[in-house]
Amino acid sequence: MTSGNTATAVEELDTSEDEGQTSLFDVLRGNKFCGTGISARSRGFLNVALILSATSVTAIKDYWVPDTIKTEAQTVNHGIKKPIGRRISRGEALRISQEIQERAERERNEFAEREARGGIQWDKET
Amino acid sequence: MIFDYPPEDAPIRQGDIFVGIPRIDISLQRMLVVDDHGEREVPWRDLLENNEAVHVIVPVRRVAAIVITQDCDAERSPDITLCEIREFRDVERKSKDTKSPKSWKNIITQHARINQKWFYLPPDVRIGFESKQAVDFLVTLRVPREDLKSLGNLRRGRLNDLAGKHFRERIAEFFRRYPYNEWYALDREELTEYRKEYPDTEPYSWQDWSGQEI
Repeated sequence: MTSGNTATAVEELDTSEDEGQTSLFDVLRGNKFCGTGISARSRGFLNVALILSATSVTAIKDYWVPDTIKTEAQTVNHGIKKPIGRRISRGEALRISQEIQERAERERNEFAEREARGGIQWDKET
Repeated sequence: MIFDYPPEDAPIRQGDIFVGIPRIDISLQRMLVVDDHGEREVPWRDLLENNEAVHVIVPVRRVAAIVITQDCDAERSPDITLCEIREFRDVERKSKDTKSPKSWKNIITQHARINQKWFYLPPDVRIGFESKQAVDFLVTLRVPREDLKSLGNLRRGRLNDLAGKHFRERIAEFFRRYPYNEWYALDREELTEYRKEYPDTEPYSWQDWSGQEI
């Protein structure tokens, strides 16, 4: 909602007659729009819009202020919006699943073989 | 031989042997994600950017397993940890060709001298062990305690008092091993022999004898 307000303010600035010479910070400082031909009503609307946008500016995260809500908000906003990875069929997924299991078991056996080659060889020792 | 057979409703204890416990294998390179978009193969690192739970397809195999959770935790903890039990010959490959009782004796009694990665379980028909088995300390499984409790009929036995105490100490020894490179104290000749078997061995600074005469 706050970002929507910011967009409104920027839109209004773009329609002003200073052809891009007025920055958002100039507006916030109140040293522009004098004599630009913008009506008092429009200026009033801009003020409302800019107050809202300023609110959103101050609401951005301040790294020096501990923000316990920050993590939660990030968690909520970073859900899977679009599919990532390679799309596969159910059949292929099951086949890969089988491969994963076979590989895990093969690696366990290979590890056991390697382990057996080291250490005491009991048959030889006796 | 070294087992007791508790009733189904007996509390879960360390050393309890269950059959039909699910063992799950995953691949962090090939997570099989299922969601509204269908099935996808995604490396785990690509799923780290968001913190939401994902649903995946995983292979599950039913295995025998033994409880390693301590008794006090087994009464309250939400989860019970078990280690997989497998054929002894598969876990300790030194025994793959072992036949004589004398050789078996040497292998089985290693416990007293070596900190092994396994715990020996002799055959027991009542439990369902038709051949020698081994607890593989490297393969752990986790199941919800209440669910396991409700499947009391899957518990086929329990280590008896002596075996249970031995098992308890072996678990502790296994998980408190000091990881070190076994060649660190070998002298020049010993290290030479060692490197014939393990060519990739990197000697320590004190094992650099290049400036010394032979």
